[in-house]
Amino acid sequence: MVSVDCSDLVTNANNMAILPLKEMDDLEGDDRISELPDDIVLNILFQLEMKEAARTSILSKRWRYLWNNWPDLDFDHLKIIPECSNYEHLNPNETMKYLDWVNQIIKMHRGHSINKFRARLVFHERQVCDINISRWVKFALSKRVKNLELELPLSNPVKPDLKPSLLESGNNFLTCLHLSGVDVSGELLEFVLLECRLLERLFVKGSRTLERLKVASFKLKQLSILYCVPLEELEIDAVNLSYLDYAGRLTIQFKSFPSSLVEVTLHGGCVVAKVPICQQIAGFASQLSKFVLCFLMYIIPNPKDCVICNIPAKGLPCFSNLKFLELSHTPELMVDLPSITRLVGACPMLCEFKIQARVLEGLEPLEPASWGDIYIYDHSEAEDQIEYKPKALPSLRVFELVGFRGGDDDVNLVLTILDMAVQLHTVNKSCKEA
Amino acid sequence: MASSSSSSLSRVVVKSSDNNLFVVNKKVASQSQLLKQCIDNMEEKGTNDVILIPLSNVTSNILTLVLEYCEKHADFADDDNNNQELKQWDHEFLKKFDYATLNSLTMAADYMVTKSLLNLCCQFIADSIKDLTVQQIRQIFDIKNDFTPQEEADIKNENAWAFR
Repeated sequence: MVSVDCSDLVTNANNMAILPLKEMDDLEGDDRISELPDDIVLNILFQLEMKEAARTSILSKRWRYLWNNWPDLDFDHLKIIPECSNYEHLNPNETMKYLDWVNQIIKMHRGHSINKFRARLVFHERQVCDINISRWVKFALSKRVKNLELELPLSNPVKPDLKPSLLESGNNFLTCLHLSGVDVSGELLEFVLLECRLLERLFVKGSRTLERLKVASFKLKQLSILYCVPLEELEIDAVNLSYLDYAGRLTIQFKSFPSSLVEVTLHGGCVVAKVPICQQIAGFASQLSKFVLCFLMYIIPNPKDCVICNIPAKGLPCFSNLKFLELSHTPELMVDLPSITRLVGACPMLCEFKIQARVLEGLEPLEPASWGDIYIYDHSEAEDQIEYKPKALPSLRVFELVGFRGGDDDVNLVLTILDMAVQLHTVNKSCKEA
Repeated sequence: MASSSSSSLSRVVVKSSDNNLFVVNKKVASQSQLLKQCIDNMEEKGTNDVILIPLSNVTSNILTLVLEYCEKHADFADDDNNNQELKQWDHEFLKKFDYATLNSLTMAADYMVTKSLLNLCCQFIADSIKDLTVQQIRQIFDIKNDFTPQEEADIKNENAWAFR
């Protein structure tokens, strides 16, 4: 490097000078994408969709295998099968087509590492799938996968043998593990939590073999344990946990105080069944900033009935820092107005309140037998309603009502909220066919 | 200039491959990790002289563009709120160029380790080829099809799901 005397240089107002001023070269027109080095071409390739990237294999010999470095392997069944309303009745060939698709691509894969491996199947034959899925997991871990996501139909969980792959993988780069419709045991999950030191997100849904789970992790930030029916014991020891999503009938035991927890989603089972909402989260209600309560139930005793849920006033904690509250429910499952006002009234700092009637997707249903009666709220337990005086909500700015049907209940709800919220400036109502 | 009281540099001089000199203030130069590294090294040595950084791979017309980008981004460096405005500017900035310039700019961003510009260029090129047919992509980027019809059919067959 040479030093020059800066005072000779004329600086323009932008602190940038071009000296001496020579004529600009005419732009050479010969440069083309193919002259870019491989790593830049890959960078461009990785910005495309997987399908678009795969199509570049036909451009020329140089491009032939470039796309085989693809780092975000997302195998969504829905992308390759014809659209249809009931996947259970789809031709079994469609499963084979899917397996061939995945196997072909992973066979050709040349990259050293992948960010993501996601397999989402809408229906399948179990025997065929178990062995394939074990193989995929092994492949993904050998490629140092960061996000491993298996989404299988809850009605027919698979039971792949994951332990050998996990044992072999040695260095573990996993930061997110998502298992939906996969029968995993607590032992295996505890093994993962112990071995995968980088794991920040764990999602388990619909495992029929999860009985006991002790979540002990320093790194874990997000935990979802949903609809694992046999679960008898759930203990959490994760000081950095910031998000918890839980559907089940147990009271969660916290071994250490979850001091980082700010977002909680609780689903039906734990709210309307044996354990009241207050007990589940009373210990840390005051530190939450976001709370979502889902009353989602696919099977109700009589489809024409509307089940009314009630959140008892007794023991309702104060959500003193809560900014965002959401209530999700299926159209058949309503939360009564006093419950809503009670809950909202317990959130003095609330900025945004959303209430939405959701229709469950075909992929979400649970077998009725697996839940039995734990979902059904017993009306007789409803306490005598004390005349409830709504509190003011000085901070509420946004109120969103999704699935507004214009019935008396809906209108009453809107009027009540309007009455409570002095600062409200946005009301979103969206009406859906319910 | 040589004996300024400040121990850190305020400006550097960057030389393009065609021997033009650009005076760049430090905050702007720091958008490029390559330039920043040079500056840091010199500062560690405690020099007060203005340093000259030769860039043997970047022509002055392309360097002008890289520096224009760096300057804009340096202005916004401490400001999170104007993300949208900056994004808009980025888009307008790249829209002006033909593919040849875009290519050179991409290479310069790579060489000068200006990661945000590199990603921006790659994203822009990717977006512009997204909806094109294979034939159109070949045409625009002057890619010669060196497959036999049989080979081409085989590849299509192999990745049949992508060509549906």
